Amino acid sequence: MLRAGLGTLALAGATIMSPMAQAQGATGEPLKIGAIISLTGPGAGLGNPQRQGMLLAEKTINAAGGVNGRPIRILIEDDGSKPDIAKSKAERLMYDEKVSAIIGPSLTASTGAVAAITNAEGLPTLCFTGLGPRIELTYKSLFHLLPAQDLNAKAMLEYSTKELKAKKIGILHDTGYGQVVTNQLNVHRQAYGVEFVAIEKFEVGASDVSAQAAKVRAASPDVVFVIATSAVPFRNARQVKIEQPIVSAIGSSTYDYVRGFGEYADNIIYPEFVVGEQPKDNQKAFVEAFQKEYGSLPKNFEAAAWDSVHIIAKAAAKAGPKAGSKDLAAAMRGSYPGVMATYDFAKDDMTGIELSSYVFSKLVKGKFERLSFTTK
Amino acid sequence: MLATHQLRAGYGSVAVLFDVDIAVGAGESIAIIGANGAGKSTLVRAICGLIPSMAGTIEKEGRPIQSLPPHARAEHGVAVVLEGRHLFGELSLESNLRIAETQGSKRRNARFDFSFEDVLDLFPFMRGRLGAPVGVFSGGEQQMVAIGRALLLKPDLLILDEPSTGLAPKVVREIVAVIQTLRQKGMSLLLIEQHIGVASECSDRAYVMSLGKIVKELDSTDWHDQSLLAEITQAYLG
Amino acid sequence: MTLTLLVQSVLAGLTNGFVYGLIGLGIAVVFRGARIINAMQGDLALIGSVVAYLIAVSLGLPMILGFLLGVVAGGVTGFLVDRLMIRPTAKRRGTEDSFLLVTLGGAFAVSATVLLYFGRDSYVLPGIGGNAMVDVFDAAMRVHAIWLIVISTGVVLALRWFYAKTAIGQAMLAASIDPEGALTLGINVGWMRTMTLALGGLVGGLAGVLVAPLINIQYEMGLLLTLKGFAAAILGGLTSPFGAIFGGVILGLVEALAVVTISSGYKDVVAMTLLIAIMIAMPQGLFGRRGRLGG
Repeated sequence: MLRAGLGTLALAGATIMSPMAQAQGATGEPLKIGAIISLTGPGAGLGNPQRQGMLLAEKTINAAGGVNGRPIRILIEDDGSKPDIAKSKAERLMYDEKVSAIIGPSLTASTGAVAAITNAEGLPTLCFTGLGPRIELTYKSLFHLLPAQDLNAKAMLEYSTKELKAKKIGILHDTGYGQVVTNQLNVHRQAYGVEFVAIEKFEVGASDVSAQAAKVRAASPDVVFVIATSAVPFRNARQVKIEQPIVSAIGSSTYDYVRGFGEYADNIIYPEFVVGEQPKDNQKAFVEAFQKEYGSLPKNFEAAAWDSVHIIAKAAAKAGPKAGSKDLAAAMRGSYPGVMATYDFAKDDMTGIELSSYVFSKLVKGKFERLSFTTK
Repeated sequence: MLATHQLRAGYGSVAVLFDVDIAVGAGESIAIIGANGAGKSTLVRAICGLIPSMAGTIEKEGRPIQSLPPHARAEHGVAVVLEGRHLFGELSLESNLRIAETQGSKRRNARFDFSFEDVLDLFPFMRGRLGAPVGVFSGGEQQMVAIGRALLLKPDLLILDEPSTGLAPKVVREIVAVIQTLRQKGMSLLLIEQHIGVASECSDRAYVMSLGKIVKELDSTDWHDQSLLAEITQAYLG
Repeated sequence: MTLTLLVQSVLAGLTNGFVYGLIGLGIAVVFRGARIINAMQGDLALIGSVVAYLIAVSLGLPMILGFLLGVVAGGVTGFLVDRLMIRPTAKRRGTEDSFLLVTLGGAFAVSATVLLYFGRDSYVLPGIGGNAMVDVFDAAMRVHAIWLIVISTGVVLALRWFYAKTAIGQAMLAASIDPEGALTLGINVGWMRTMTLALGGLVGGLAGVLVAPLINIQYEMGLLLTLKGFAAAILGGLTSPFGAIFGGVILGLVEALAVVTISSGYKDVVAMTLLIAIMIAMPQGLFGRRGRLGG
């Protein structure tokens, strides 16, 4: 409820700011950018932070004079977490609004639907998902701003083996997000020399997973991975007396989820990118601006959205006002030092995020603390 | 005691009873005879309120009751044993009786103050079976349970819909004996019967129904007129 | 399989089992008294828990007040469901399906309303004894869960006494077994049905305030609980409150033991197979009656 209020405030702020931005020097025909994100439905936990990030970026860029004097205008559409809605929004933005680029979607299935369309026109699309099916590698105009689950899995294993010196790992995961990450964990298991002594799963809506957690506990792991988008497994794990450190994945590190952990939001480690409480040097300006605008701390998805707008702005400035889609895409296909991570879109995985971009945080009594561990 | 004037009733919008006038005097036992489908059971259901009346009145001792909801009519001293008995099969005999007893205790100034013990005296077989669920009782036993239940409501008028149907002759005798006992006590009775023999034995007067109408009234002398009875049986009792 | 693991799974199974059984209890009460399958039972629990949350957490009033008002809210909702939804349907000669559909609609309405005002987040309701745990052979059980089991058992016993020994309880049974017979005996069958729904609502509200501390309040909570509760009630014979609890415990234990002895992936397969097998062998459930006794 608080978020809705702030969101409205932000939107109002952005609408008010644009004419003011014009007064400050951003004039001329606006650079239109379309955004398709999940503001409702299961993906809302991702889409809403993304919206905050991109609106702040729009405001900041326009206040500084826009792109070579042109203001940017972001048109945000909600795909309701549904791929078919994402597809129709994409068509509308592309053909009716004639946007220069598209940001989003928030979910993998929607990305698949949207990318197929934008690829036909070569329209640059910066999605908030990791690399999906193989076909995406052929899309010359698609850019991924979040790492593939492959990388998330590796980051979890890096920390567990190098810092916690774990040899035996227990996994408690849900059949949605958790399954995807676990598949990748299995792929990299041998390379890190660990054994998965227990892998227990539960359905996404489960209200109690004590039995599965107990089974993980009984296998006496050194570290426990809990990969899910609900608070239930985290609570049950501690309740059945799993005292080992818990390592989780970026998908459950938003403040919304953490609030649901209650008093069990403790001794949980996340490999992620932005820890608002203790940002990296290159993140400090963004974190301060976000806090000033919204009164709360940003995390990964807000930062990714901020980056996406800036990437487009930079490429548009470089390519010039007459640039078509292909030129714009070509201007983006390089490296970019973002706030969330350092990207290199020329790389094979179309993201270029390295393990070194990861920041490791630990939940201590409901608050995030940045750990000094890095993967270098 | 009870009278209907020009009563019209039926199901949904279809009338089944037409201009029915009957009267049961205090202490009288009246029979309603007729073939299947003549409307006898419909008349019973209209009197006890299970179907609404479309026109006409139903009066208990002069007071109109046709607008009262069915559960309120017991309080006015009208008790009915429906065709099919409608006992609470899963509940014990005692439960069935006590439920009626609770309702009956609300009746002030009841003429016939039937108590739990009175009913057990009337139907001695009940004493040993109080804990059994009534659903397992025989047809005759169930009929007696239904009558006992109705009596515990302390009615002024007891309506019995086809009490002898489907019962062995020996059992019918027992039922008839109970009815006679109630007559002797002075209770008003309205008896619906297909068996003309039972009807004549148990009642003072009778109405003959056919196709939803009263077609003939028989008084106490007519009951002894065998040829008249044969004629009526032929014409109206199918 | 260590002793600890076995004990932990039994404790988890018991806890979940009583959760399912408590909802199933409400379903059994409503079916027994009104011959209606109440698809809203889990949402009555949701309403009870939401009210308790608003009173005890949002307004900061004593927890016991929140509990009591949550239960009462359930009862009031049950009453309203009868007056606003069941009665009009009955007047229009609804069949058993109609009632089920009407209550299903109500379930969705409640869920959507909670989503509208509370969003997607889950909310934590404090339990009895907070988060305190009890140690059993190195396995853990929440103190609150023990209270839930004790109170549920108390409710079952209270209902047994109510139906068997009080005039109103007997009248409610009579009204559902044979409405016409009951009417001719002076029982106001319509009111009996209203009271059954209100009683079902009270039980539902109580289930809500007892269950919420274990699973968190969330807009989807209602339907998920109803499904499990329905399974528990069916296992128990649909008309027996005791049977519903028993059915719930069986379901919970089978689920938990399936997880630890076979594999977590097979939990639902095993539980549902068992349900189907029991229903084939004993269609009346574990405590129901074969067919209906006529009279």
